[in-house]
Amino acid sequence: MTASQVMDMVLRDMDFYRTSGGGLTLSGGEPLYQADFSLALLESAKKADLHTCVETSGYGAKDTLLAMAEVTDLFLYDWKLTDRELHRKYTGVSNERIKENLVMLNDMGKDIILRCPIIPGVNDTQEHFQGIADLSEDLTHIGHIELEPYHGLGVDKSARLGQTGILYQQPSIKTVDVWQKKLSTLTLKEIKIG
Amino acid sequence: MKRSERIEILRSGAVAPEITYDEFRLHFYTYFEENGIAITQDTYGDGYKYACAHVTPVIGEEELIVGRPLTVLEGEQAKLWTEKYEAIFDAAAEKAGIGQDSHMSMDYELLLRAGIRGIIQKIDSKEQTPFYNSCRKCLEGVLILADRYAEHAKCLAAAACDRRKRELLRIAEICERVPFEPAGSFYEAVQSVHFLTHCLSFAPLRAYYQQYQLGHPDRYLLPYYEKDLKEGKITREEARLLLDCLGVQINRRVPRGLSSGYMVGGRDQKGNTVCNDLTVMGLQVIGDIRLVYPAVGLCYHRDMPDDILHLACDLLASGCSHPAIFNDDIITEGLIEYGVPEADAHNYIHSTCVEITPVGASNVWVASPYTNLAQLLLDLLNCEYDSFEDLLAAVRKKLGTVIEENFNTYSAMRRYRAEHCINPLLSCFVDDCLELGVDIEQGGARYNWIMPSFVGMGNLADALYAIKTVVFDTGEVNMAQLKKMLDENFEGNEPFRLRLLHKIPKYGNDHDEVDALVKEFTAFLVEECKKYTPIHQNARLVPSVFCWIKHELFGSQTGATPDGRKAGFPLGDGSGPCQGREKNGPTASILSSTKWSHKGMIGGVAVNMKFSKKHMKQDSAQKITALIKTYIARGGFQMQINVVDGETLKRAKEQPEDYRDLVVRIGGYSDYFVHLSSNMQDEVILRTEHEV
Repeated sequence: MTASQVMDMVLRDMDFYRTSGGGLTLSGGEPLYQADFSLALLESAKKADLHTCVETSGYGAKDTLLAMAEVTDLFLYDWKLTDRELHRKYTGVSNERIKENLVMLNDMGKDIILRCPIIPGVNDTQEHFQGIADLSEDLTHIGHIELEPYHGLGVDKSARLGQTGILYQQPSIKTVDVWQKKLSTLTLKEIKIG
Repeated sequence: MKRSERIEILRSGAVAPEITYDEFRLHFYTYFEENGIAITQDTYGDGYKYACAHVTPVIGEEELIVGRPLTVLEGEQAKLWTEKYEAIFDAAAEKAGIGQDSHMSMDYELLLRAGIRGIIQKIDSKEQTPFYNSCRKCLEGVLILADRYAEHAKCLAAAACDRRKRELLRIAEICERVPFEPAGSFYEAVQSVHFLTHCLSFAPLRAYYQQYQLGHPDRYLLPYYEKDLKEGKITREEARLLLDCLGVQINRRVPRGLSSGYMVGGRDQKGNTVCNDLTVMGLQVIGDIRLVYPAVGLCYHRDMPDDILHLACDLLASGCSHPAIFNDDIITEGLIEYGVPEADAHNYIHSTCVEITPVGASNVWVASPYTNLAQLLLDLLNCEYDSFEDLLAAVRKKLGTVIEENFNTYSAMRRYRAEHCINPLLSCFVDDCLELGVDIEQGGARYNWIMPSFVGMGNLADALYAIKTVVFDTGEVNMAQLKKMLDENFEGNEPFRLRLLHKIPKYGNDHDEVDALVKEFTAFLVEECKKYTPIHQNARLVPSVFCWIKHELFGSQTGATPDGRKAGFPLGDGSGPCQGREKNGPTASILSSTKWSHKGMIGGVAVNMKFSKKHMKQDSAQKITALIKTYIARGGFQMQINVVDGETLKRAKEQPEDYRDLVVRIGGYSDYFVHLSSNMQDEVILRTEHEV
């Protein structure tokens, strides 16, 4: 589909955006990897006076993100692991660029929600929680933190990607509660559970 | 005793109770039989009084609001009934006539302000006529029964523990005062309202359970609540308990499968927003007692605080099936167009579900009758048409004929009822009966509307559009060929049926052309009904697209239809898109549902939406309220939200065809449940079952 075909469909729900204060959200996949298309959609949305939001891992070229940020009001930005080596171990890439991009968005004054997937046995550590806390304290434009407890909805996708599923543990409601409480001792920023 | 403890006891008995009015009927007809008298307007009241003097007063364990019929007849009474009086009652009820009754709200404000004492005074000031006599006697009957309840309470008190003794003695005090006196306290007001409604439920000339609605308690109870609160005579918690008790008693008065409740919110006669403690508590009752009644409607407009919508969503999220949301402004406008003065147009009631009538002034016949639109169309497909326009014209013509015929039938029924039936007690509380000296059955009410209901609007539009596509646009079949396939229930033509069902646009997907057909025919219904004026004053024919359970019943009787529906399948439920045909999400569904004007459809519009529990919680609830507000802003009349639980999701997994429009919340987005892979569905089911 072309961007304009997509926008035709998006704009049909204008009444709902007005009532809810909502708008256009790009997620994925990874919007940074479909930069031209994403930009075209965001630009059209802005022309129609819609609020725009991009969900991203932050792992992309700085200039691409910069261009997107010009027409984006809110970023839902992932912060998966604080330790650089562990980040590389679990995602395949370092988190250096991700952090730089995040700081850049903050310096531009963009609204940010920090999305933190927490997987038991992987990143439910004091170190990572401290890392989340430090980031959110330093970057004033982070509005709140969203803890994303691990769930099994990705197991299916993993199989379809031909990966043998490494099965992680889904945390109990009690465990999630403990995480939230622990993090709240480290930062004053609001913490929501996603 | 804690409120929750008491409610648990009260509700456990009221979940699916037996309810019989046969005892009252037994005594009523005994009076006439034993005395060899005929039932006339002159003698009716005597029979009513006699029955009130003999029927068993029932006060259940831990009840604070009293008045309910027996659950079953037993012993001698049962014998007498089955051997003799049941047949007498049946014959009398048949003689009194078929047609509708109740489905409205009487004037509780008058009852509380004047008490029965005041109404009797009013009657005594008039010249004596059989009508006024019948009214006075029925009112006396109510007082006799109230006194007997007081006696019974005192009796029970003698053997009760201290706490219960105090409660029963208080009940006795209250029953000695109300409903005779004007209400002197909140407790008295609630008791008075319930007791009168209980007495109205006897209706010994009618074979059907009476379905009365309790109007707007957050209006008529407010002065009593505020006064007691100010004087320290009641706490909010105590008031809430009494409202809970009132709610439980509805379930003791009306059996399952029907409907009884009240409305809260909206605007008062001056147009000011109604939203107070009682509005909130009126909603909280739903969650407190968790029974099938009260069926509560929230009258919503944009000036109402968001909190009240959030409370509604919380209740729905927790598994309650109420409240339903009503568009206060649209309904008021619609009522004004049907001739109701503005002040009265703010004071309306859903007459059980979504049929709207002015409170305290209505004699309405809802569902009179139900028309099967799908069958109507099928009956027209036995010949060829030169163009789609010609087919549309034929549908309009046939609809017009059906409306006229039904109007004549129901007018005749109303005339018959006026000659063979009365309801003096009800007449005392419905304007303008006492003013005019005319019984409600004879036309004394201010508004005498008949509401025909049209079932399967979604199917009609979808089927017409399908015919347009395959018969007139592409010409791939002619009408005869299509009809043959329908008659054969698509036997041997499954691919074609699936194409009709899934490949041709359907109402509910924001597709302008198909939605336009709904607009055309709903407008036609409204305009066509305006041509008819039933008997009695301020009589109108007011259409409805509400279908109650008729979508299933009619569906089971209707053959295959051009929208791809197989023979015997239910028709569309309510006036939104047919089940399973929404593919573009709830926003598209709402856009489609609101492309036509709901204002003229005062007989009722019901739009169903289904969401998973997760949608209704916390941040997600904001989105649902936005959806509701947009629906209202676009002129939507009423919305019912169904929140699905794990069980439903499991069923949806087994039978996806029946749950195509079910939307569930995944991570940060929502999707159709039936589109998810099997594993993802299992995950969602698991998560749902773990949610509070």
